[in-house]
Amino acid sequence: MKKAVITCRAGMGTSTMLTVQVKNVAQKNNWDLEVDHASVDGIGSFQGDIIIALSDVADDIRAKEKNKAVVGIKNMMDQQEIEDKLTPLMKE
Amino acid sequence: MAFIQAELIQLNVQADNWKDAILKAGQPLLNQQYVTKDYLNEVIKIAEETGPYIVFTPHVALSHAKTEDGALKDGIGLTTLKQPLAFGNKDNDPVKYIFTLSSTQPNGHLDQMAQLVNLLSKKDFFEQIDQAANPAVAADYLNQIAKE
Repeated sequence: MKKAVITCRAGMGTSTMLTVQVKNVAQKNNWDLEVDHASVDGIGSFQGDIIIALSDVADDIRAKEKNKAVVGIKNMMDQQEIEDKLTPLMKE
Repeated sequence: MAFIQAELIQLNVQADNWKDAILKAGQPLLNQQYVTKDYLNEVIKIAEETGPYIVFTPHVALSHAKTEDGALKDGIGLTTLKQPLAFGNKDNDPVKYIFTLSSTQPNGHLDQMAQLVNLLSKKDFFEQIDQAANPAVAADYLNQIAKE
């Protein structure tokens, strides 16, 4: 099983919506993925595999969390984009 | 509780720029004490610091900050702009639809956000909102879909 955290500055709102979408995509693909969400401030203590955020937030995080996979999503309603970006990470 | 209240919906609002749009979209929440003025200023500050990620899909923004920034009670509103505006998000500009969120739960409301995802995945969402004659009509449509 892999663990992902979904984040935005507020820790709710956009990250909560993105959590819903990632869960939808994970279910569709039968991925064994545990999904949580948090504010950006809480990311430092995250022990899992993948950090997912909208693009601007992901760019910020990438600069700080160099050892973790960070995925930036441009269009949250595009499940195909989410699937395409997560698929390689789920196969690792 | 209904998904959205008509009193928090405004249609065809004229705004000068994205900051003005955030403030005008938040005005009903401010007037009815869902949020403080500081909360709206924080939405702008976050976008200035981190970028306009609140424009999460083409033409749609979710205006929100943290609970402790001044969310007083739970609510969601919608403002449509008369003239779509650039928020600086190159993938999803221009913005016409601004959802305004106030949540007293630091982790947000998963059910409510799932309803919003469901709404936006409807093919006729934009058309229905564009055609709504007044906030009550828009609220009826949104609350009907949210129940599905």
